Amino acid sequence: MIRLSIIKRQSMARMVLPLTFVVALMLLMVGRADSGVSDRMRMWLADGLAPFYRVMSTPIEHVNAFVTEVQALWSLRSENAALRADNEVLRQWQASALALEAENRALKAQLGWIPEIAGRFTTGRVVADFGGVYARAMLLAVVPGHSVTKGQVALDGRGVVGRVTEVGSRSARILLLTDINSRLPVTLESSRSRALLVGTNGERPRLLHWIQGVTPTEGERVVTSADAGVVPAGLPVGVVRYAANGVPEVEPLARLNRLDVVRLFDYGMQGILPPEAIARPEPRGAGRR
Amino acid sequence: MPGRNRAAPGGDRYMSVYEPRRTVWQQLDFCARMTFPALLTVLLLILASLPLGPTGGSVGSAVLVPSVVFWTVFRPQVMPPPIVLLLGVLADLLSSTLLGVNAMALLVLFSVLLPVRKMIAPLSFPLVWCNVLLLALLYAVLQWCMLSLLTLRLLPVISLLPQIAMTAVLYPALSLLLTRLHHMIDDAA
Repeated sequence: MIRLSIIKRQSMARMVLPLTFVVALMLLMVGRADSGVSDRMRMWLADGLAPFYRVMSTPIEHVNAFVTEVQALWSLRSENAALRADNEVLRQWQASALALEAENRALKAQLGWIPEIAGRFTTGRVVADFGGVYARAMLLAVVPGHSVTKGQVALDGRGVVGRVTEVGSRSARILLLTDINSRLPVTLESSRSRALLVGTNGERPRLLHWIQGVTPTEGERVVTSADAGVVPAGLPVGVVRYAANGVPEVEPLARLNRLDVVRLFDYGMQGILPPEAIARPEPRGAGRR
Repeated sequence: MPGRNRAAPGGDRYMSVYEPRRTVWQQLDFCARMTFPALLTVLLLILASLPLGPTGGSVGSAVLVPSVVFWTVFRPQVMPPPIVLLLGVLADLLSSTLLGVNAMALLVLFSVLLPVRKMIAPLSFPLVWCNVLLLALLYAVLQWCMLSLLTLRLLPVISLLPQIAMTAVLYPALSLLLTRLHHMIDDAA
């Protein structure tokens, strides 16, 4: 070990805190200037932790299952009654859905309708919550050699969850609908008006920029829109609910608080390109910038 | 760095005069005791990132802030500034926050705490709890200020509340665990 005098030691010790502040400031600047650096670091860490998360997912699953079981036992009677009522309504819906399906098939046959390509999907387990105070994100475990790519849309059994923002070799990060940076083009189902679904970090994202003259109605279904070429049209997103202050919000159909298994659909949409893929115009002359 | 934290005047330069040279095992033991609190905080942070239902996202800082505060107050030699920085960076990466925000907030918290730590150490548990909550509030406000400045928009303040509430709820249990470990390290010494 290098032997130093007490005075030198003390002055060095005094320098540690200011130096650490300088490093933190540099990190802040790097993080702000180039998000790619922090994204790579994050995926590197996530890939490293993936085996641990995979091991931990089993006990977590058991705990969650136990909690759900207790809750279910608690509300068995009332839930049963509600399910009976629901079942009655759903039977009527089933009849009308079958009739509509038959009609739809007949109409499509007459029109020469070109069927849409069904998306291929990969299924992954949610293993970590990578959200913070101002971020809503989940980490998905995938197997090495997967076909998950940035921009794929994630759905649970009920509706859209979010989009894949970063992909590593063993994990993929999904930005949830509710994240403050999330923007999703949507369609209001009954008025067919286009709108933008903007995350607020709260439970319900907000509706913005709908077409003038149209008002989103309470309870109206909201589905994705293919406008930006980011997601295919018609994926179920949620239902319009008005907040107390009169702002239209969307209650997501997906159970974002208890995500377990998520499907990542590849519809081959290339609407949003990574910044490095955007072709820059060639400089005309040498030496010109 | 064995001997650096001993009260012997002059550090390890004169240490050989006072006590015999440490064996490899003693040095390893010393290193383990020095790094244990930081490693435990890392483990707690990673555990907090497991999908725990609706509480997720607020647990991370609810274990990070009290851990850093606890060790800074009661055993500052195991929480030097570079370790605080690294813990902050880990929190940034695990919480999808802009790189450096948690690190900087944690360092500011640390430098506010350092001069007053001797005043907090002898206080009773409820008063320490209150102080931890005040510091958690400061941490949340710092996060809000930095993120609002860096993203150039006014972020909702209400999002900070779950994190502070979670700190308040988790602190008694966490404090019990950390106090136990703190005494265990002492006994091992």
